[in-house]
Amino acid sequence: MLFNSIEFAIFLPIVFILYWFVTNKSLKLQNILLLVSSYVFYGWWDWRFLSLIIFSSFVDYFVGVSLGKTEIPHKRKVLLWISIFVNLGFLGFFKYYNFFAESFVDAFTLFGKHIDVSRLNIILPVGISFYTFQTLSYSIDVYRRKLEPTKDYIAFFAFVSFFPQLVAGPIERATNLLPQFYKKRQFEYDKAIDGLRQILWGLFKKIVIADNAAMYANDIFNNYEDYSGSTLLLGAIFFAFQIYGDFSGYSDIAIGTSRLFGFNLKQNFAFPYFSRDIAEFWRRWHISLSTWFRDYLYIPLGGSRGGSWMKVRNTFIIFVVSGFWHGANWTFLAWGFINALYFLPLLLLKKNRINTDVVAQGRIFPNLKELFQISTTFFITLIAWVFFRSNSIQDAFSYLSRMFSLNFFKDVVLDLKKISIGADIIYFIIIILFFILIEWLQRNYKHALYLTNVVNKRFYRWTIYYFIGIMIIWFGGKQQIFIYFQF
Amino acid sequence: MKKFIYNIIILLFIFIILVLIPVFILKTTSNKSYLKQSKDNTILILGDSRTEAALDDSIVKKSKNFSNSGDHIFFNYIKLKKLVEQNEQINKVVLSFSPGDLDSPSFYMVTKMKGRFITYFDLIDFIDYKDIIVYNFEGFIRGITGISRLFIKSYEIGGFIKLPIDPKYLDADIRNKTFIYKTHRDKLAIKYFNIIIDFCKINNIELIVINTPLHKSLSKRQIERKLDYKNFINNYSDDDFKYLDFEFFKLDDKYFFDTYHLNQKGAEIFSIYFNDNYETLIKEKQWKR
Repeated sequence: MLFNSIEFAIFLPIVFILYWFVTNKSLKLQNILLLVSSYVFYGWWDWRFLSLIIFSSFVDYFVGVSLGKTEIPHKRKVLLWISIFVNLGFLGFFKYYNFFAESFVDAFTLFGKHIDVSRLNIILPVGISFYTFQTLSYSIDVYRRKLEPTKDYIAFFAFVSFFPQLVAGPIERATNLLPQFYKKRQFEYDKAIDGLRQILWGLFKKIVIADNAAMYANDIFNNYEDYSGSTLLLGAIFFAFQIYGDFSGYSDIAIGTSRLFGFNLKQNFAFPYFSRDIAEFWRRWHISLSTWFRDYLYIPLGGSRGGSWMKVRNTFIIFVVSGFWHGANWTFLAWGFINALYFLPLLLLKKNRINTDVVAQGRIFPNLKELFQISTTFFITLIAWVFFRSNSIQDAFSYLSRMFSLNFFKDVVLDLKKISIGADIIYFIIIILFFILIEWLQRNYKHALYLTNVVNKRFYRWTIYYFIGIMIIWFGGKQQIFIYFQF
Repeated sequence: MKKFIYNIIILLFIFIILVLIPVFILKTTSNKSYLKQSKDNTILILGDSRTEAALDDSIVKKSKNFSNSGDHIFFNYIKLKKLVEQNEQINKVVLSFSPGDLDSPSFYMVTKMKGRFITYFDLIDFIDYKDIIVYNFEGFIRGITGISRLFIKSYEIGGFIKLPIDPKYLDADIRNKTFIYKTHRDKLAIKYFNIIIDFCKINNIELIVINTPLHKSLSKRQIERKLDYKNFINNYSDDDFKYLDFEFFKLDDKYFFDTYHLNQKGAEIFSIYFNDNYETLIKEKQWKR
C-alpha cells in the first residue's frame, strides 16, 4: 500500500478511529490492532512475504528471551549469530544472490573460464533492508545489555512491523521505539496536528517534487547521449531533488503518521542540501541508517580510534557497505566509495565536526562563505548521485564526461523543449525554488511545515494547508513508486 | 480528541467545497465554443498519437484533426459526440484504430485517466461517468480533485502536431527487438468502437477506420498481434465502416519519427497521398486486405 494511494487514504482513518475509539481502553488491544493493521498494510503488496517478517520476528523474539536467560558468553554469542545469520541470510538471498552469482561468473570469465551459475527469478520483498536492520538492532542491543529483552511478544511483533515505517524507514532502534509499545499512549492534540502537517509536507515532497523531478530525470538519464552538458547537469539536479523529495517525503509521512498514534520516531532528514561540508551532509541525510552503521559497524570496527590507516579502512568499509545496502549493483558501491573519498580528508584533518549547528543561525540569508560551501557540497553530492542513478558505472562515467564536455551550452533551448514535451518545465523550476525557500526558512525545525508558535493565526495556517493541497492537486506528477521501496 | 475530529472535518469539508466549486463553475459556464468549426470542415480526424502525427489537416481538404496522443477509444467517442453536436456539417469521420487500440490498457491507468479526465471534463456527459467510475475509480477521484487545474490550463483536446526530423528516435526504436505479443482484447475499447459505429450510422456520418503507416521493423515485431486485430476488423462489414490499412505504406526511414509515428515530412507525404486517394481506395474496396 502506497502512502500516496486512495487505499491508504481509506486505511489510515479506519485504523485511527479503531485505535482511539474502540481499542483505547486497553494497551494490549491497541498493540494488537497496530500489529494486524501493519500486516494488512504489508500484505496489501504481497501477502506471501508476510511470512518473512513473521519468521524474522519469531527468531529475534526468541533470541532476545534466550539472551535474557543466559549469562554464558559463548551461548550469548551463538544466539546473537543466529539472529545475524537469519536476518542477513534473508537479506543476502533475496537482495544479493543474483549479484554475487553474476559477479562470480564475470570473474571466472575474466580468467578465460566459463562457468554456469543459475540466476534465480527472485522478487525482492519490499522493505526487507529496513525491517531486518530494525530487528537486528534489537538483538544486538539485548546482547550488549543496553536493552532488557521483551516478554511481550505482541509489542515486539508490532515493533518489527509498525506500518508507518515498515517498508522505507526510518530504521528505528529498539531502544527508542520498543518501549513506546509498553506505555499507554495518550492522544495529544498538538502532536497529532503537527503530525498531519508533516504528512502534508511529505505528500508535497513526494507528489509534487519527486514525481515531477522523476519524469525529467528519467528522460535525461535514459537518453543522456542526446543531451548537452548543461541539460545533463540539470538532469543530475532533478535526480537530487527526486531522491530527496521521495525519500524524505516518505520519512515525513511515516513520522507524521506515527505521531497520530502517539509514537515518536527519530528525525531522518534534516535539510541535508543546506550542508556546508560532506560530513554535515551525512549527519543530515538518512540519519537513521547512518547512525545504525555508526553504532553497529563503525564503532565495533574501532571507529576513528587508532591510527590513520584504521580510520581510512573503517571509513571505506562503512561507506561502501552503506552503498551496498542500497542495492546489488556496482553503481551503489561506487556511490559509497566516492562518498568515502569526499569524507576522508575531513576526517584525517579532524575537520569533520566543524559544522554541527544550523547554517546561518539567526539570519535570513547565508553569508558568501556559507553560500559557497553549500553550493560546493551540493555539487559534489550531484556527482555521486550520477553514479547512484546510472544503470552502470560505464554509463555514469559517460554521463559525467558529457556533462563536463565543451558542448555545455549546445542546443540548450532545443533540449529544454524536448524534455518539456507533455509537461511544463518552467512551472516545475518555480516550484523547486519555492520548495527550497520554504525548507530554508524552516531549517531550524524538525520539518518544513512546523507551524506551532511560528504562524499563530488559524486563518493563515489553514490558508497554507489549502495552498499546499491545491499545489499537490495542480502540479502533482505521475504517480511513481517510492524509490526506497526497492532497497 | 473531539476538537481534533471537529477541525479535521471542517478542514476537509472546506477543501471538498474548494475542489467542487471549480467543477460546478466549469460545468455551468462552458459554452463549448472552442468546438465550433468552420462550415467548410466536414471531415473529422480522430485517434491517438498516430493520426495526430500523420494527418495534416491543412493538407487533407475540409478536415479538422482532433487526434490526441494516448487517447483511449472512449475519449474519441466523447469528443465525437460533442463535436457533431456543435457542427452539424460533419459528414465523415476518419478514425484511427490500430492493434494498440484493441489491447490498450490506458483506460485503467490512474495517472492516464486523471489527465484525460481533466482534458475532456467539459465534454463528458453524466451518463459517460459510469464506466470511468466502475473501471477506474481512483482515476476518477484524482481527476475530480484536479479539475481546478483547468483555471490555469485551457482545453487542449487535440490537433495535428509536427514531429521533428531527427533520426535518433527511430534508431533507438529499431534497436529494440522485443516481440510484442497479443495480450487481451480490451472490452471497453470494443464497446466504444461499436458505439462509435452506431453513432455514425444514426447521424448519417461516413466512418472511415484507418491504420496509419508503421515502420517495417515494428510490423515484424507484432505479427501475431496484428493477426488478431485483422480478425477483429474482419468481423465488420462495409456497412459498418470503410477500412483503409496503411501499415505497409511505402516510406523511407527518413520520414519516420520513430517506429510508430511519422515525422513532419512523412506526414506531409502521407497526407497528400491520403487526400488524393482515399475516396478511390474506398471505392475500390481496399479494405479487408
